[in-house]
Amino acid sequence: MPGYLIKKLGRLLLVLIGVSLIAFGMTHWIQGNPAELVLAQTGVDPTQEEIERMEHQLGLDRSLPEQYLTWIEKVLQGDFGTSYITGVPVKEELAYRVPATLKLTIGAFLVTLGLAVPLGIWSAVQKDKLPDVLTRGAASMGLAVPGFIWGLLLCYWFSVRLGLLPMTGEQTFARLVLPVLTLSLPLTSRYICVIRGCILEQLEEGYVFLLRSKGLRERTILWGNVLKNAAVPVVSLLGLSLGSLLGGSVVVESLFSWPGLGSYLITSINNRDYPVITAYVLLMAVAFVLINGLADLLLCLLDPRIRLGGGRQT
Amino acid sequence: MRWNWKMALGLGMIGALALLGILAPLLSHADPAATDLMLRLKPPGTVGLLGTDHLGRDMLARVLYGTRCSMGVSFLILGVSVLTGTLLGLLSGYFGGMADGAISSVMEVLLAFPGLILSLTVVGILGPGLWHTVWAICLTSWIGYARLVRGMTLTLREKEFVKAAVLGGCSHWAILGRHILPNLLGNVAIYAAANVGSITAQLASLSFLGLGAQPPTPEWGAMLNEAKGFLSVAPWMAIFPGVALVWMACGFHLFGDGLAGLLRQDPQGSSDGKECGKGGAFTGGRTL
Amino acid sequence: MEPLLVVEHFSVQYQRMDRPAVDDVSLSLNPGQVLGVVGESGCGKTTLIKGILGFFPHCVAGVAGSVRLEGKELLGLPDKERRNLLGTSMDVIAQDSGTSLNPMKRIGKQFSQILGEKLGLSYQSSMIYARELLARVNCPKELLNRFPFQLSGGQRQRVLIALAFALRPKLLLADEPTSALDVTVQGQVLRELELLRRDCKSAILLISHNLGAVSRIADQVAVMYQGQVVEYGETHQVMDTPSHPYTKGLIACVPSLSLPKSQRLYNIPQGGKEWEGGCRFASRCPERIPDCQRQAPQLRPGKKGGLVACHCCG
Repeated sequence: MPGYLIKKLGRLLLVLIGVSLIAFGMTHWIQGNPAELVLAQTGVDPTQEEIERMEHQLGLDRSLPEQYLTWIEKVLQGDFGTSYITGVPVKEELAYRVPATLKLTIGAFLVTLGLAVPLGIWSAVQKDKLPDVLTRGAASMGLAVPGFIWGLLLCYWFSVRLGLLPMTGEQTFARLVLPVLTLSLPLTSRYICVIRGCILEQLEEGYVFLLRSKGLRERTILWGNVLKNAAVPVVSLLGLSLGSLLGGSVVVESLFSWPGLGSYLITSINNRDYPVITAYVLLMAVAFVLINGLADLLLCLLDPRIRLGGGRQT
Repeated sequence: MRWNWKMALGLGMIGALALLGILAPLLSHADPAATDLMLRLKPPGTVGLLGTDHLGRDMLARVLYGTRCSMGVSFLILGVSVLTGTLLGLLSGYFGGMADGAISSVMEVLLAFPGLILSLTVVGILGPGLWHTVWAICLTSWIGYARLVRGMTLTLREKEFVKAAVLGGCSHWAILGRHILPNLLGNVAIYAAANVGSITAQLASLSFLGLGAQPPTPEWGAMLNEAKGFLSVAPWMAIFPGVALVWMACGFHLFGDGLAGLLRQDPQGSSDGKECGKGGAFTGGRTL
Repeated sequence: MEPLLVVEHFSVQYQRMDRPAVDDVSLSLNPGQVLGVVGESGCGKTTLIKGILGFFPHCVAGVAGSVRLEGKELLGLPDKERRNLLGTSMDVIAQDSGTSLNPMKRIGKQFSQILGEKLGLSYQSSMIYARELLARVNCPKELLNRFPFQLSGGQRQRVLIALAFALRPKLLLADEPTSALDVTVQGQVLRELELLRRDCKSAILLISHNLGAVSRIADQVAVMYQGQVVEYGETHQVMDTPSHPYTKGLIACVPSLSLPKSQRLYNIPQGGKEWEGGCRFASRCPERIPDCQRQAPQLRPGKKGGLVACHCCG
């Protein structure tokens, strides 16, 4: 097991370094001179001298590797620079927005698990019967249609027409319901399909035949054997799907004006506020790498074939 | 080739939509970009068949012309991604070595991001705009093809018929073109059919965020973005582009599902539904 | 003596197949006896076993005939009653020992799960019993703490036999129990099957394409060709003095170590065209007469004893 984990972690570390290089390169070769951008905020045309002074102040006149190293050192300390637009340190803004996004994504993740696991199991058990056909149809719709359309629909019915749930205001529980639902819908659909598929695949396995031929109850076979085995491929998908939740949160936050990282990113893109964009990218990469590391660890604990380093993973 | 109903229905839905897009000038004489503040927010039936938006633009014309933008751009992105992805995948899988190392590590790093976040980053660098989003989505979607093709090339390279071709003195390009590529196309087609839906969804999502097509370009995602503020007074502004988008998404989804069922030569067809799970995992990262 | 298992005019038809996979098969098996069923792959042997167990896949279009265990009709038996019979009255040793054990569970857990549900044993007592069972099939008790992928093929097959021992079934259906094993292990596994028969007084329906294995432990042999029984009789009689041309061919196909090197191995000729009626074997038969293509031969007493379905040698 340590070998497997170390190999995985090494790869993740490499990915992190690669991402940081890209993020740095991105801040460096962007269109427009950041120094000019900062000075443009004052409203007066800056002189050449002023630009150079600002470049010096921002450290733009040093060699690239040097700039990268100072930059990465700062980043490791949590210093992502200051916003070009507001002049507030990005760190402070992040401290306010990260919890909001976490609330949203974790909520959506829990809803996804809470809906998809029972529905996926039910759908697999009832294969080709009415509940399965209906669930699968609904899941297909959820997969095919972009999530923000569902968001708009939910918005229209529950907020505009029925006035049940607020669209603006405090970050209350009621305010969280619609964004969380919207965010979890596409993922739930996908998980229903995946879980159902994995269970059906397991039910075809030889050991299920053996247990059935011994006359064990379907209940024992499903709950005592199949579900755990079917969980392996599902868990290996977990990392990826949390990533897609983070991606989806951008759209949902912007749709529901939720003051999280995603809406911050959109504002910053429109304002060309590059320190914020860089910070966002780095944060996402770190989050994604961490999540994948966790998923690998979970997989290790779950699957003896990986843990004990033997056997083919089937 | 055996047809199945999913594929036929999906193809029909897309075909009908494409036809509407092509025939847009015949079906609506209004200019999709012409504003008339006197006629703003008129409900369907009063002014034009589908009403007008907040700037008095004709909704019918905008939805119809939107087809051109939404569908055309999606196909463009699909084409670019399939070509670059397949080419890079073939090269890295067949020749290996340095090229493979470089391409694989780029893929690895790019894959560290969920698709939409990577596109957002690229748009963040380049700034908002339709063409910038096109490049952004291309940058994320070629990876899937490259990965698929690389993996398959690696296995095909070891197959007897390829070895026989090598011994027979075929040039590398002849082997790639005549022996490896034809064997990949089926799976690339399955992937592409599943992927085009996710491309349209990404394009629409980015436009919906206000980063893609800029007004007054008629694009469904961007139209929905504008409609967002008028949900209570003019729901039709959201309904028609929304329906169009759902229609297109379902069409592509059905077509992809059907094609996958067909090419996998599953005797039960795709009604078995196992592909549903596989396909979901296969397309990788369908985001909002 | 009342036969333990009676199969009468049993047919199984799959969807989209032009002929039944099992076609009008009649067999009977006395308590404590071994019936070998031989034939090439695809002749319906495995379908026959699944049919007796009552496991019909979804693609089965129709089932006819009768299968009785101790006088009790098995076809159409409710699931719950069948579950009570499975394991204790009849059990199966599956073809592929590699997949017949749950890959994610320790062997001990798999024993205790089955013993717990079928015999009502606690975890502790099931472990004691499992150790005893493993000792009987010459396996070290340490296997109980291992995962299936840590076992060799022979060990896995013996674990399966031990599991079959555990419930002391009256009828054991063994589907190619030795074909996936090394020649050296095959003999041991057959010995253990013999042991099972002696200790538990179990009857065994041994399905195999290994004529050596069948002739060693079977009391009676049924030869199947394309879903039909073509020859049925006492082992020594069928093996030593075969009547049906297909049986003769099968026996001639077995390579012998004493065969001179220059002699070519016998080969049953491949049939030219699709079966259109008459005897299934006619197109490959070296002894066919014009009647064979016209009329299907019935199974009837042969000249040398036993039952044969052939026009020219009956």
